[in-house]
Amino acid sequence: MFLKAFLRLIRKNYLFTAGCLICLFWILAAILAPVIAPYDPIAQDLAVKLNPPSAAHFFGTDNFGRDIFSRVIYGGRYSLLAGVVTVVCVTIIGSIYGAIAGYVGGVVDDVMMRLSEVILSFPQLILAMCINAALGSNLFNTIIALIVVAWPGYARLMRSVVISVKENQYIEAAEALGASKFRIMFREIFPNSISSVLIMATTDLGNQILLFSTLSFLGLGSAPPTPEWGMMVSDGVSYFNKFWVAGFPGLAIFTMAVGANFIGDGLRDILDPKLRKQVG
Amino acid sequence: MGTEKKEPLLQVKDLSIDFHTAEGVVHAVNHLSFDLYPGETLGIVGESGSGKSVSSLAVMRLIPDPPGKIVSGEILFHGKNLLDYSEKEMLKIRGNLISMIFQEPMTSLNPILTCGSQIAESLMLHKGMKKKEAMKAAEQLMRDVGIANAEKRVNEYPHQMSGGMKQRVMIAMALACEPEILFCDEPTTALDVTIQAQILDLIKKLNRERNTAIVMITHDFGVVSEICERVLVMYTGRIFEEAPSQKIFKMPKHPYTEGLIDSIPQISDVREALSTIEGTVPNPTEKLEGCSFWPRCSRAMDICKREDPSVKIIEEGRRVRCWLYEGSAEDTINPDEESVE
Repeated sequence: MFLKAFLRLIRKNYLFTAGCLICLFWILAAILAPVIAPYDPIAQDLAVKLNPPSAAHFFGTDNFGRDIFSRVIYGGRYSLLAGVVTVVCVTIIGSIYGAIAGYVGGVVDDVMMRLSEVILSFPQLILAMCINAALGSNLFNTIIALIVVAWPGYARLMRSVVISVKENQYIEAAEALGASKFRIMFREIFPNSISSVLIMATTDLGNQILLFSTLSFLGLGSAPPTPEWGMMVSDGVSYFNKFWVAGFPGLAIFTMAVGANFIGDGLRDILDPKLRKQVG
Repeated sequence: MGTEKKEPLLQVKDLSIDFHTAEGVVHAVNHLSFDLYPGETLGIVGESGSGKSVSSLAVMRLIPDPPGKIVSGEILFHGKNLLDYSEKEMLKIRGNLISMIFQEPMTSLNPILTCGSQIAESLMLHKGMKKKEAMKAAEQLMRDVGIANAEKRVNEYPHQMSGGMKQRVMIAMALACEPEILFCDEPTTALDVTIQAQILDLIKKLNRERNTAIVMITHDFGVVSEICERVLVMYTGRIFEEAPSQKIFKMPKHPYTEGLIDSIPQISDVREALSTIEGTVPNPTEKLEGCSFWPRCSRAMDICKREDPSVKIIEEGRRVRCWLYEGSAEDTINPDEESVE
């Protein structure tokens, strides 16, 4: 039934389809990077540095003469991985944590929320830097740092939605029909609350990619020669009259974020039967 | 009582429930006792805040604790006290042996599941049916509660149905496991009059065909006259009167019951305004001296302000709590019920 709705959505919901195509495009590009990219992404050729886009270099070259097209294609491997893994983990952790706090309520809720607020009380970037520095700088640790920093926001959103959902009479009705707390939580409350968190997750993907690049820029995350979208944008800022240096990796982040957003909207439609009807 | 030969299915004895709120302790139910026999239809009538819904939730053990607390009493179901059951054992009873339908059909169904799967849910839960089998049974149940085109409707979502249809789905859910008792908490309040009559007919029919005992909780004596054999009138968490429903309409004993019956609109009457009971239900946190109804009672006497009357049996199957009948009664119905007050 879910699959059928999904297939129908693909046919009817153009935004969702576009979102899927965009994301699929970048994922394929990242996987097939060695086949697609015409140059080695870290090979320098100072003879052609800062060249504008041309037939030889579709997206031009940067200040070391590296081919930006190849770097953008390869860059997806890092940026997408970091962004997607972070967002997926954070959505799972945050929504379960928030749902438990919101549903159980009382002292449990207080303790759980205060714990999450401890993390929120630090500036996001600085906390991420500290965690990253403490764990040691590599891709995996940076993702962990991003997750630690981002999940409380998701948990808070989920909790507030759950608190309003659990007051609905169908929850009471489910109790009266003998459904256990666990069942009510995961069959009644969770699916009725998750859509706003999913929307938040898809809009947050772009953010996480940018935060990851900020960390990279600061010397955490991925190290300089690595082609990574966010880092390429920040490198390109020094050459703002050469639009292609920052422009193309920026475009990559932008399209990826938009694509994820479209998917988020589509997912909400799948999860909401009222919209499903209009779409299908 | 007329049904003395049969064993009662449910016996509520001396049940008291408190709610601890910020404004103080609310005694929502005070020393409530009543019996329910198999296949019977019992009406519980009272204004908002009289403790009728709370009592039914207590039987299902669904009182949120905190703030609610069952202070005393027993709820015997087939002779066993439900208050001693663990939460796990209660899960097997709720929806299986004792079921409930609610006031708001609009919001009582999960919006993201199809109606059929929600009915099938309790069959899978309690009867161990497989999904496919349960969906088949759900379709049949939908037919039983009078939903036309059931084979199509099982796969529809709640928002695609009207209020009356949703209430039918609720009833189908509640009846899926053929419970012995069905609590109906104002099931027709949110529906318009024609649909209300249909739903009441349906409940009556199911009561006859399946021999399910029905407890109809309502503030509407019209509903009671349609469907109930016996009536309990409640006020401030206490029983004020109990009687077979034909008798209570002909000859209400308690002034409060009289007031309630008087306020039913009559087509034959050409009155300017409906008659009402003066005043409102007392603030539940306040401790009242004497009978809780005397400030609104047209026939209040001096003693009413000082002492709370006890429940007296005034004739076979009739109990009333009022000083007006104190003299004529032979003995109190349940000594342990009233002695402490």
